[in-house]
Amino acid sequence: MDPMNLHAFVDGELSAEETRAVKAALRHDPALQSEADSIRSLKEFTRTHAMTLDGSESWKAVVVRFNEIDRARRTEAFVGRYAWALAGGLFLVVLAGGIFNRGLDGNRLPSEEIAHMTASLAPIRTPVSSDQRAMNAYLDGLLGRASEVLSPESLTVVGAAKGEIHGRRVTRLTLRDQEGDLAMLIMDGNVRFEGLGSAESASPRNGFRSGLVDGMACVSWTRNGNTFLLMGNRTAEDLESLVPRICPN
Amino acid sequence: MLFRRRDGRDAFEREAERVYPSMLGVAYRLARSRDEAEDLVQEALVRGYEAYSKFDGNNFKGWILRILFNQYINRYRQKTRGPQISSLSEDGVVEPMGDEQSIPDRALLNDMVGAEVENALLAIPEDFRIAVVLSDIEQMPYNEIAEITGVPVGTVRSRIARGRAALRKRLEQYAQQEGFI
Repeated sequence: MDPMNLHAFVDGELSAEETRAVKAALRHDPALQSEADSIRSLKEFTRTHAMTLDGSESWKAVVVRFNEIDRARRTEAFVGRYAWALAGGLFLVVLAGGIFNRGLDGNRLPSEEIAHMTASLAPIRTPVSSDQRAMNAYLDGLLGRASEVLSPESLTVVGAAKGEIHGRRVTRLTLRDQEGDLAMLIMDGNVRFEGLGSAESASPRNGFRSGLVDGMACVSWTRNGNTFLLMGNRTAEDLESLVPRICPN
Repeated sequence: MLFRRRDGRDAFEREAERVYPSMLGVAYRLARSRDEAEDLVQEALVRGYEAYSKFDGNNFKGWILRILFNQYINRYRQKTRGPQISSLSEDGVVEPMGDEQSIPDRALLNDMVGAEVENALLAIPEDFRIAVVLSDIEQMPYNEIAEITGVPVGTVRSRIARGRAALRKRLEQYAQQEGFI
């Protein structure tokens, strides 16, 4: 008999017909019966004497892993369920921030922009200031409505430049009097300059805002839908005293 | 959804805890190291937990042992782990267990302790060893052993027979060394 059949017989793995054949053989072959007994003994011995490992501690570590998997799944489920909402919310925040900032940019300009504004403007030809008619016409053409508030007679314009900053038309005039040169910026719209810093004699009055730009005193005001910024190597009070002469209206 | 997921976790944990000792025993007899066995079992259970939704509900032990065995094949079998298959082919001759005069009797076997059984098991070729472990210790039928190990039933039958013969020989050698026979 094939010894494998005997093992399978002991294990109960033979078909009914094969089992009958083995049993018949065992009845007539004591050696075969002894072999079957030996297989049975060894099988039982192995089963009853094999070590049983204590896994109580290692099982706890397994449970911890299950808990970690559950935690990760909960997080994934949350993110997956609300991913679109989270992304959409984030988008709205970015959009709102951009609109807000743009809104701010529309009416506020950091003082650091002033140097950029003055440097980036393109110089333009200025008439000889003694020709007052020419000067009037020049300022009308250059400044538009802003010229209505200015007193050209008070101005000695020695230089001019113009350009666009953040979509706003900007004109720079270089003015000169007996004390030296001044720079005046004229911008479309109502603009508030931020971060001017505090000047020694700064005082918010008469609608002026005073401050310092790069250590230089400046005064800012709005008239007629335009914003003016006068800068010079003088005190803010001196500049404020010039404003009525330059901008009497 | 939350309760359903918790039910799945509870059910899996119950089943896993029930078969955990068996898994540990099988893993130990595969990896031949307690630490590696625990690692192997943990990884198999993690994989099983992650794939539990695919379990058809029949025979959890067989299913998880299949995962364990595959885990062992993928991770550990690359390293040399002692005898894999004996020099004889799978279809080689199965030696008889022994004649009446040389077989130690039942009482003699009972004198041996479990450590000797384990040592003898670990000394036989791996494929035979795992077949004997699953059959004689875990009491699994041939078709389940075939499913777990990924071989035909006929190969399982051969490995069990040859494994028992090899185990028997090891135990006899020990008995002779110790003067039992």
